[in-house]
Amino acid sequence: MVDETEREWNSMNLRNSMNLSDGEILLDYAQEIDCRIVTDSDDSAFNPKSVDGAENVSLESNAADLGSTFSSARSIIEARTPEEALSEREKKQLEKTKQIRVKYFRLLHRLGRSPEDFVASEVLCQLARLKHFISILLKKAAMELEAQRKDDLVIGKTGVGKSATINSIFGESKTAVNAFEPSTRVKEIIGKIDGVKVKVFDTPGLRNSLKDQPKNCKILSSVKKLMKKSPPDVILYVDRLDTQSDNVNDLPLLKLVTSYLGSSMWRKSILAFTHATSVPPDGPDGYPLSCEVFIAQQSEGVQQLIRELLGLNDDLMIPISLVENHPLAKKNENGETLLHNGESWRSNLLFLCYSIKTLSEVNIQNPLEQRKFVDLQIRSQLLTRPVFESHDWDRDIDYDGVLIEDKLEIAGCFPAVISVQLAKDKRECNFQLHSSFLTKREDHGTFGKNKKLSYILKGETKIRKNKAAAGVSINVNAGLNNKLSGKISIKTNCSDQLQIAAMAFLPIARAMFIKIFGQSSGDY
Amino acid sequence: MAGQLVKEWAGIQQFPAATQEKLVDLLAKLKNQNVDKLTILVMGKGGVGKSSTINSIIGEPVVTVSAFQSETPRPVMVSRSRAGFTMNIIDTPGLVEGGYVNDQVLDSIKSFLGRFLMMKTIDVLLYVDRLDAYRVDDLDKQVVKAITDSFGKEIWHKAMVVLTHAQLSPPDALTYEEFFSKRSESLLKCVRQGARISKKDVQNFAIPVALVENSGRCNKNEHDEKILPTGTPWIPNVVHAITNIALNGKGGILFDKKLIEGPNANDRGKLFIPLILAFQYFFVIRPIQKQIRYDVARETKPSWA
Repeated sequence: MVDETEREWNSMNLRNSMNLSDGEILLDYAQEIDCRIVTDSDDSAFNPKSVDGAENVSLESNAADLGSTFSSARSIIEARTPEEALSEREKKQLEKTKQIRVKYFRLLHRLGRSPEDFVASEVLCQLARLKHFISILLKKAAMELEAQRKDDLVIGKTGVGKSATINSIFGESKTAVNAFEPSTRVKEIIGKIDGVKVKVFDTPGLRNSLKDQPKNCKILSSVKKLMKKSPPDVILYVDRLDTQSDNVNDLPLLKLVTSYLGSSMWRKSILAFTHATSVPPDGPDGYPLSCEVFIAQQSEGVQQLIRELLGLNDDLMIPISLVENHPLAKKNENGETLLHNGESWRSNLLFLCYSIKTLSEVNIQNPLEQRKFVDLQIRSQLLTRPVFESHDWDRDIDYDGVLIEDKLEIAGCFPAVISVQLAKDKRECNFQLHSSFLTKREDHGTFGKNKKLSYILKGETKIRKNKAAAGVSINVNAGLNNKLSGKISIKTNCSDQLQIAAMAFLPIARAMFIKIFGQSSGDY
Repeated sequence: MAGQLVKEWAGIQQFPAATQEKLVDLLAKLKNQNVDKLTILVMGKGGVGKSSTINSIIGEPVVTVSAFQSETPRPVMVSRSRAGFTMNIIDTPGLVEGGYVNDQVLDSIKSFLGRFLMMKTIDVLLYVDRLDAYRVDDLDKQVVKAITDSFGKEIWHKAMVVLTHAQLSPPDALTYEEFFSKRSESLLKCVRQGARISKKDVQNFAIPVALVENSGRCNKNEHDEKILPTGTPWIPNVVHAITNIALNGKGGILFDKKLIEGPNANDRGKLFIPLILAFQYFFVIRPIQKQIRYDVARETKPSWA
């Protein structure tokens, strides 16, 4: 366990040291991409004129180099398959990708960023990679180049500064903010930032206490309806940077949000931390922590919670944006509020939003899903490990028992995991069988909807102090396409009083038997 | 406990001279009233600054504080004495976990108190929260309710509210005083609701509110005392409020077996037992017996018997 946290800390540090100049933590998908595509094309004939003239016009000088390498990469493909042989559909895709790239370059230009910026180059890498995967079908029709639009959804706990953040993004007071009264309903706010039409949905804050869960459910279901009506491009999850001391408290709330809005929401979301210029607290040595360490630890805490929720053990890096809405915070000469490292947070945030929207528009398949699929492949190993249980109020981590896991095949094709957990005092023993099978359908191309679960079989037996409890559950989901999906679910559960449960079963069985076979004897 | 040597309150030396004077004056006032012991219980949600406040008042880092380790794992009692006066401060873990009040923590606090404070009194309760939290919600009410259920409503006669992170710059163009009064008003309203203090009783339960700033970056005045944005040095202020409560004439909460175990669940509703028995006899048993007799009388003998 310690190793894992150390490893994560190291990888986080690495990312931090790479990004200190940017003050952001990046989209992680890029690691999966083979960016060598760009460099491969260096030896080819370099002919910028063969490309659409519009691209070259809107580029700065260093951007021109990158753009031309892309175009020369594309020219290789075009050289391989002569223009006439490209099917109508493939031509349209190329057109579309080109248009997306142009749009992205324009946005970069407006924000004053160079394409060599880390995030920008990742996005552009992704776009380049697409060209080599022409077989991916794109569902959307041709996009408009001029009417650039962006939809945002802002959710978070109450009192963290969602409405204030929206006001700051627009640069003017679009919605009422009050320190002591929560904002009460979902508001749609439309405005123009740098010429781009932006629509933001402000939501009432979620409450932390269990008793308020029905209110939370109401809020979340109205948000869900809103999402169905006009799906947002980016979801901003807002929280405070300076009050995150106990992350466990947020877990039920995050769980609720994920269950209502779907776990795919995290793939197009940004974590926004307000009060970002608050001074970090004192560390264990009595001196205040450095800002980077503080920010990294706070944000990593939330990321870990989300990772746990989604059941991903791998790194899922949700991009992070820092926000400062206080009117008295330090500003630069453009009037934009600055963070500790001197950067303007607003343009960072807008940049992240545009990047996410661009990626989602080209329907990049999330490599994270592929990873999950790989995990289910059969590896015949017996895994034995100790089980640690942490009592939260105690902050002690106790060695609680031993867990033995084995992977095997059921019926020759379904992967399954059997695990046996034996408690330390040998009073409790758990047998579990878990088997699930995922299929991937690659022909739909909608973002995040490619996973169709075929079946899950779970069996569990608990033996505790010589009493047994058992349960079986079988879920079968058949997804035909996005709309139609079937579901069969069988659950049985017994508890301590196995005999009573069995007794209840007998009259039902008898009644069914009589019904089926008819009464043999006459009335009394 | 009598034989144990209590540590000297050495931390008072490291306060600036002006603060030291004020503190010594307050201790003298207590001694004049024949109070030579003070037991202070510090409770609140997690992560609000209970341990830091105790460290600041004692003047040395007695309780471990870590910004990320989230909170004190178990209750801790810190005792210091000076010139014959002993102060016991009890630090507790936060009462909230995952959206609800953690009963385990409450039990651990009660058993801790039962071990160290049997037959002794709690003189002051410090209910700690942050000044820079903007919303008061049901969770706070539940915390207050849990405290009231454990210690009884009388504890609120001896309680005060402490707001940490006092050095803030208020939002929404409010002045500091306005912000402070609004925040303390909403928190006090929550406390009254959670403790079920009726509107008429509010005068009886005057709960003072004090501000605290525990970070090393706290502003200081010309005497090198730590001050609030309003200019008042806050350490003497808090101790002054504590002494006022200790001397306000209402007795402390005596910690005895009854308080720990709570009311005997078996005693609840004992009065109803005879009533229910009577009801059952007259309205249930008698009619059924009558009906049985009626059925027996009506029975027709079959022809073959």
